[in-house]
Amino acid sequence: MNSMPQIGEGLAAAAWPRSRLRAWIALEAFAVALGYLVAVAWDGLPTTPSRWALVAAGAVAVAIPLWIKSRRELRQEALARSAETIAIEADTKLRLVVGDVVAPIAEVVGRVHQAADQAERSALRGQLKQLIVEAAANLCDGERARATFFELAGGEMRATAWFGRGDQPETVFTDAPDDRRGQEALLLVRFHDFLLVDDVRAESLPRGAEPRPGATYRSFISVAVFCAEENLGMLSVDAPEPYAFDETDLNVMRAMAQLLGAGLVDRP
Amino acid sequence: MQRGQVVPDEARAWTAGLVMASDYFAWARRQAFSKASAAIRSRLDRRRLRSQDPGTSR
Repeated sequence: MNSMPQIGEGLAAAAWPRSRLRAWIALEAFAVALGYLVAVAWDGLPTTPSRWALVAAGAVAVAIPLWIKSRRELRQEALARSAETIAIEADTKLRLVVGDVVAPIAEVVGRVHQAADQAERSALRGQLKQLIVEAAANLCDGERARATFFELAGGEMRATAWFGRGDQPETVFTDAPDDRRGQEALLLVRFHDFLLVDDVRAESLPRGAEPRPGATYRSFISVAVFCAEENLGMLSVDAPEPYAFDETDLNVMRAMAQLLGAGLVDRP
Repeated sequence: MQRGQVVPDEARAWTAGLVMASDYFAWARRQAFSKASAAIRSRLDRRRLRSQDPGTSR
């Protein structure tokens, strides 16, 4: 762990190199202005107001194409930079998901199935659940996201691991006739489905998918956790902002749910 | 040539609970960002060079 940098360093070290385009534009403008002044002063400075007006009109005529060209170049550079930024962000996320999360978690899944006894396996599974919610909360784009694993046991689902925003999830999903939300959540798991909601207040949601009164989230993703035919629970990530998650986050959640399922399932 | 660990020590420290998730992800994000920046810029530079080379550009 000696090579691990300190958090305070931030991403500043990888900041963009400064563009030289503005300096080149300023140099070009200076050279053109100097050339124009020399041309004007070559035969002596103008002596009448009409001559001065002519010189000013000439200066404007020279400056306008220069200004248009520099604007176009700056705009092109800004576009190229934003395309580069998007490409770097996408590549960063790919590296994070595949290299820094999936690889180490897959190793833990393997260790679960190699555990010598039930006690060790149970400890590793607890560790795996926590790693999965930590990864889900950190990888999904929502600011102040919270990830929770609701484990299915005895026909009910309750939170057994969570990470992110402070408040502890207290919801218990049951199959009771008056628990419509519970029934919907259990159906989602039974059918091995996922649900992405951009804004719980703006969208018309299916009955049972609406948040409980006083809920602190506006957007969420819920994914069934299963392995083959064995249903194991539901992995959710939510955020207080609407439209906090996109399709990339959904795919991250699907991969996390499947990794968790692979680690929680018992060998036949 | 490149050679390294499939699961690096930092990741092992996280999965073993020796490092907090926030610390691990801050480190991982920095690493991934700097490697991604270098990779994308070198890809862009190679593409620029290829497009400037009359022997290879279309």
